[in-house]
Amino acid sequence: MKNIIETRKLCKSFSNGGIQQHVLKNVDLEIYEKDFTIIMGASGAGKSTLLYALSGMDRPTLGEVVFCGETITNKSADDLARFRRDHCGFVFQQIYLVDSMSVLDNVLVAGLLNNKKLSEVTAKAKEILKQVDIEESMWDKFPTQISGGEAQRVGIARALINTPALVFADEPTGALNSKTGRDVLDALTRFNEMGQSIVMVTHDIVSARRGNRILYVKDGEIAGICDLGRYVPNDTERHQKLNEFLGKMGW
Amino acid sequence: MNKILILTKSNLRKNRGTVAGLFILVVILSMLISSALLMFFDAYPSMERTAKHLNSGDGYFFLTGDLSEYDDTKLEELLSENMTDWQSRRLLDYPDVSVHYGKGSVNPGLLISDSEAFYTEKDKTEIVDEDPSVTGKTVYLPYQFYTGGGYQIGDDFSIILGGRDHTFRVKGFHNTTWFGCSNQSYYELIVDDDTYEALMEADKDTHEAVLTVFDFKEGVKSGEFMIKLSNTALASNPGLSFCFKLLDKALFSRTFVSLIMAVSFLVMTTVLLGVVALMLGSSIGNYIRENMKMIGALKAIGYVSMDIRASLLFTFGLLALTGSVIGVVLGYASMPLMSKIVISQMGIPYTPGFSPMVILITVCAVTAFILLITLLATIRIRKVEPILALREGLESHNFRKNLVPLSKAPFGLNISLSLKMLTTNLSQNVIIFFVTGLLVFVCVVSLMMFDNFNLHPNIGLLTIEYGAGVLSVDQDAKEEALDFLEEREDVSNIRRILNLPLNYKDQDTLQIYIVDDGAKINNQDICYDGRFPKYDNEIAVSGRFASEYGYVIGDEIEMVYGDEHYDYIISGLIQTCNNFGREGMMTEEGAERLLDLEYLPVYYWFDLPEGSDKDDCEEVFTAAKAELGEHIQSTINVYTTMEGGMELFKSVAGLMLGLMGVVSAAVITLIFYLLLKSLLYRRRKEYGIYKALGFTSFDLMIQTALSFMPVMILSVIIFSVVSYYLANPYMSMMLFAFGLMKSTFTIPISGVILTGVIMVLFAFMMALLMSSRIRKIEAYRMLVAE
Repeated sequence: MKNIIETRKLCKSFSNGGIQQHVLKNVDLEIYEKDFTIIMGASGAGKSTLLYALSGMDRPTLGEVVFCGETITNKSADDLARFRRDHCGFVFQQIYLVDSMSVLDNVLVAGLLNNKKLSEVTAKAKEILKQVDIEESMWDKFPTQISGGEAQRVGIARALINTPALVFADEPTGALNSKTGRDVLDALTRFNEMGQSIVMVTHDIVSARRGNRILYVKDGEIAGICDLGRYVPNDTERHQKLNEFLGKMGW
Repeated sequence: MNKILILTKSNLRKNRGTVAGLFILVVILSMLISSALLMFFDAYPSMERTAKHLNSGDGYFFLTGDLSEYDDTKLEELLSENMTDWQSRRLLDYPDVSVHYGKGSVNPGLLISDSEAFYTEKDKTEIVDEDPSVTGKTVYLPYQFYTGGGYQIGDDFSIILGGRDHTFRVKGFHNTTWFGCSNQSYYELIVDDDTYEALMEADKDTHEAVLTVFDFKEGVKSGEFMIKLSNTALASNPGLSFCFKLLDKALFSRTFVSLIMAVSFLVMTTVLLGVVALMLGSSIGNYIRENMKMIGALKAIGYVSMDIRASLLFTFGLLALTGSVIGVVLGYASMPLMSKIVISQMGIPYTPGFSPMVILITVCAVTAFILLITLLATIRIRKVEPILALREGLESHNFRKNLVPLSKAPFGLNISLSLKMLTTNLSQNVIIFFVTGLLVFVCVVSLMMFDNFNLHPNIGLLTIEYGAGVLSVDQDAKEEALDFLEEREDVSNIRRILNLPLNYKDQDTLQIYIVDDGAKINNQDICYDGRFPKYDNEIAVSGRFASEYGYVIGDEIEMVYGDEHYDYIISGLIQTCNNFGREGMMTEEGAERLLDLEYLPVYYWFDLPEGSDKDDCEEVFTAAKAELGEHIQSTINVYTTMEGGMELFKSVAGLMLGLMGVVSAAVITLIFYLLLKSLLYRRRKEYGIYKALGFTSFDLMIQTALSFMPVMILSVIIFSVVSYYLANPYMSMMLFAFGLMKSTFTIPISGVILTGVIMVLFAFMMALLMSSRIRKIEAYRMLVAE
């Protein structure tokens, strides 16, 4: 299987009052195309730090990230921004839609970044919005006028508009209730089934079941990897396998 | 009090940048106010102080012309009834002498006296600077020749007196109240005793004058008395010329530049007051938004609104107090530059003095103003509910309109997002719109003054008439001189204009221009209402005089000269900045109703072809001298007069334009600093989102800077047009007190456009520079680590 990301000896440290905190320690991993990769771990284990280091949003202290065959670790901030617009999509826990933009514009603002034709991008944005169950009547509304679950699905549409090589989702259901959270997971699963590669950070076992490959982070290291196979609703055997893996990891 | 101090300390620490920006605005504001006040309270009264110091009296009059039958005792009775003290002395009077001054020349009357002038009790003449080693044919010049004329001790000083060339060496400079400034029509020169004797011997019959300086008794109506005195003198001998001036007019004519500068500074100050009010209001609004949580928390633990408001009042009060004190200090520091211009007109030694009044007014006014704005802007703190504030005033519903939908935007993404930002930053853009508009207005006015004084000198508003030159001859050569001028191919539009003081009843005096044909006057703009007089029963009077005495066109007005008087019909109103706005115009036939022009010299004004210069004019005079010889009384080369006479106005206009340029640049910089600082803080998360999506810092900087440009451009366009139409009425309003009724300065359209373009480009550069803080916003820190 073709990998999208490969890390070599990835380290990340923070200085806190002069004391170095090593959040990631010599992480070597690979993220594969079309996978729905889940990064799990306890709170403070370094999951989000790893996600943002992989995506080029944050810089590692040491080590290398090779993304689609390109080393991104030494790129300048602006080059990283250009890289992200071409290859990455992001779904945040706090959603982070632009309050002053309508639903449609929130999707277009990412889509138009690559100088594509306005009509094409608009058509695509509308199509994706429909796919995430955002009705046309909501397209002109502002983020403060829609629910959290709807906003997060708009966030997913925004992440997908440029057909990124990889979508990074940082606890996308963390700020939602279970019903709306499920809708968001359904949307992500649907896109993954259509071939979209996704890396998702979560500490929720229900969310983790959507992935086919689980990376467990413990004390800044990859403590274990579990291949679950493709998501099948209500597959108890698969659930059992995940539970056992997590149990082994000390979850 | 302690709780307020704690909050104040926190405010200062948290809002260092905002406080620093506002502080600079307050410093500039205070500097302008204190400079204006120093002009009013220190520079302007310095002339009065000098007059007292020199014991200059309440006024002077001097008699010239046929003094053969003049007897000092004739006026003595009249004088002793009305004056407490007076002193007469004899000297020589040479009208309209061309004197090299600055880069050109001026044509004042010269009063020549000997060293006795230094020993008078009244109207003392004080030596400011001298070099006793300079000997021979020497002259003491009025101090203005040093401050504005460019003369140094030891320089040669060449003039023509009574048709003869004289070259003196400058021995020193003296200080005199009555005859020390080009705006006073006369200069007094003190020459060495031998030369004075020689001149007196040669020109006693034609140029001797009697100068009397006096103090009025209390209760004497000065204007009326002087007219009575003038009429008595002229009635006793029609061959006499009578000229007088009272102290207030003399002081005004030497100080109006400091008044104009003071008024201009105050106008700039009002503009800046508006800017400071807008910026302070906006900054406090931003402070409340940015610190909503803190305000909520403070209220939750028991602080009342007034505690929080008091801390802000204390913060900005402190800022105003220190800023205004520093502004006053800078105002004093800038005075050497200002006073250089002021004394070039006043012509007296002047050192800015310490004025507690200036400090007190500036500091109190600025601090009170800032406190008032703060008090008003912080009212909304009262409405902050702790619970809502702790949720950062979260809006659950927002029904804004999407004015720039990206799906329909015809422009590129950056421009579309800029427009979007524009619609969401309306309050900031409103501030930019009005502040830019105010700056455009003052820049256009400064540019207009600069263009009309420095680049394309337009003396139409400063003098009654302009042309190429004036040839003055005695009556014997009246026809010969006219023939000479008419025969020359280069000379055109020959007209006679004589300038003479005539009295309005026994109440006032008007300087009257007696013209042979009003239609030949080049400066047709001076008659701003009605028309020039055509018939012998008509007169045009200055608008300021007419409004003061309630006259309108068509009214009859009684004019008096000696024993003669006549009621003229007012045919038009003219505007003039000279003689306190008291001038008029009539035809030669009209003047003949009061006096016999046969006694007076003839002044021929003429024009030369376009593109001619002072050398061409000088060539006409050289030829005239060859043909008319001693019949020539005086010549005025208007080209050189313009160069010399405009120097002062050029300095003032240059200073104003420079100052406005600096103030505009500073204000634009500060505005963008304050607005963008707040904008970037409020929108830091949004910028984080954009960066996460793949926008580069430069994309966002361009978007941000561009978002201010539509309003900036709109403001520049609208206010350029408004300024184009309002600049002249505004100047009329400003200069009404100086006699200007209808300003017709040319407004350089290309200059206005260029100013607008420069302003927009500068603003864009500043906005781009100030938004470069976006580089420091990291998507990860903004969205994840926070």
